[in-house]
Amino acid sequence: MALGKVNSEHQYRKLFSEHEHQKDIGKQLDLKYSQLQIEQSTLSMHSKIEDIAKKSLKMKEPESKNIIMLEQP
Amino acid sequence: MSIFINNKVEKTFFELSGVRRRWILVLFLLGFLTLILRAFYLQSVNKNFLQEKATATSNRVISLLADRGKITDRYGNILARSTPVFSVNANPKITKVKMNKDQRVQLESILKLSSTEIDKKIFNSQKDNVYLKRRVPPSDADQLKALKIPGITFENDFQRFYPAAEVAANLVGCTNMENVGQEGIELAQNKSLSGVAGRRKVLKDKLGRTVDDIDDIKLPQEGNDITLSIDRRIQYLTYRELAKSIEEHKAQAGSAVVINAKTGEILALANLPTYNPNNLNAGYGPTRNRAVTDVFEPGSTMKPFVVSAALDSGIIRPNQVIDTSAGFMKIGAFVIHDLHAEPGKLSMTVSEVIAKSSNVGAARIGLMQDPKSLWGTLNKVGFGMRTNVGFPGEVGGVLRNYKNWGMIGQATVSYGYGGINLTLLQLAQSYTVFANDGELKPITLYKRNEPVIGTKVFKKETVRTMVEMMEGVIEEGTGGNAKVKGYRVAGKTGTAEKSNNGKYEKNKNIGSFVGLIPATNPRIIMAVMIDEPSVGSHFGNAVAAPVFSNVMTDVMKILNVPQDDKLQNKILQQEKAEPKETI
Repeated sequence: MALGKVNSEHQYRKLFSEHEHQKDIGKQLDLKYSQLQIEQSTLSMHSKIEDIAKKSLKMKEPESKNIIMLEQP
Repeated sequence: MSIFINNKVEKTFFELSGVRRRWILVLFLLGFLTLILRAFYLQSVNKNFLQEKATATSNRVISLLADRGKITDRYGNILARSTPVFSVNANPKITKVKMNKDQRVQLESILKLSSTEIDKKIFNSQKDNVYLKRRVPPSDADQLKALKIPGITFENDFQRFYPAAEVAANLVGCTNMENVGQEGIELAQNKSLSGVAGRRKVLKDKLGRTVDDIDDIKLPQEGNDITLSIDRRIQYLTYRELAKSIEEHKAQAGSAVVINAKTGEILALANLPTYNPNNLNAGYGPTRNRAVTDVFEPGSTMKPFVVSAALDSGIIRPNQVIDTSAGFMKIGAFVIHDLHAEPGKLSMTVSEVIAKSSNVGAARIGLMQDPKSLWGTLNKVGFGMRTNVGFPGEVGGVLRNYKNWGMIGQATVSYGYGGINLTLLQLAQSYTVFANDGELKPITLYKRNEPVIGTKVFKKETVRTMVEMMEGVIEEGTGGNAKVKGYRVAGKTGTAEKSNNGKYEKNKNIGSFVGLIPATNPRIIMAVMIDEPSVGSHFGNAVAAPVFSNVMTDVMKILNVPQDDKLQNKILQQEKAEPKETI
């Protein structure tokens, strides 16, 4: 009887500790996610995209004579 | 006999050992007594202290930090967010004795602290706990933890990151080391963003694993997220063009506001100079959001309201000719000049007064009106009152009471000088009347999901006429630089001398421009002001109107606004006999 109690308490604590461990992993992933969100936000800044497009990809805006406007029927 | 002898022997034995036995007995009793006393001492006298000691080794109270809410733009792009970091603390008394050389080298390199700093913080410290470094990224903290330096502990903390950095700094604001909002939205919404920290008490085993909860867990209340009405793309464009103009004209400062004309939502609010909220080690920079906290005399951008008020009450007709006395007018000793006067031209139509920005014409139209009703109109469009946009430090400017105007006062107010000053935000809001058939829309920094009802100020017809006149400003008047290809623009330039202790300084000006686009059915209002341009022209058309034009060219594309001007495309123009034109 008493041993059963001891055993179940031990099992409980083992599982609890495992649960905590998993929660820690969850937290780590949350952290990673928040960092990625910030990274995504930084990388998608207009200024950054513009910089890459203009400098490394040598893109430029079309001049108005090269734009054909279509009218909606 | 033998019994006797035996008895005697036994008796002798007992008598011999009697003393010894008693001594031993007494010793034993004393021993037990000591134990009992000790047990009594430990269990009742010293009980609390010892129990605390015991629980302290196995029980831990963990504080559960609440995550500060995010601040995002209207599409959910992050403008401010917290990520977990660590504060590294040391107990100098333990660390200075037990840390070895190798650990010290590692500690210095990971925390990027110099040897003297370590000396100062650990080796010359008498305290029990010192901050070695705050806001250490998790990766560095993990490396440090692996070193297991005695006396070094780690505390959970959060750090704010601002991906938009200086582009939106004056608007979003920043927090201090304790994650309390100090400026901008961070300050205004601090309570909502903060949340409430929680706590839990746990049982640890000897390996430091958490094995049980002891008390009820008090979960942290996470901070609320705030969604602004800002469009990050437009914010950036506005910032970029504003910076360009300030650089070009070597100006002191500048602000620009972009508003959704129909909903009153602020899409961009940029200010220069600005600062980088991600790097506050250098101290707070120029954190002021000038568009909200600083007032200026609006100058000519006031004229459309004065003229509209006169049109609305039927005092003047749109094509009426006003005597502008060749750009020169005297009230007592006070002289009003026109900045853009054409020599020999004695009169102007009302449209020309707006297009050429005639001070004399505006003053005459102003003086035709009853001061009380003119004041009422200006008050209705929000002058002299805060917009209540919910930004810390907002001011409402001044609209001097009509009773104190006098003739000169009434004349000068009519072209935006004297008893009036306002913020750029107020100016931008006031122009919503021209985009909503005469209704002034309440403006906001937060995303709106439903349309709002405004206050009616002018009649629909009055506004239509005024927008047409303001198109004249761009087409043939003082605001030619505000043109946007493919779109019709209505707007008004303003150039005001800055006053210093009641005296106007000729070389210190504020150039401004407010525009509506597309003029046929305005979607966007943008107000720009450039403070003390010192290179080239200081006129609103030279310094502020190009900012409008450049930003709006891109904004129209971003928002997919159909063009309302004559089609520029040759092929289509040939196919269609008449170019598309409305109004």
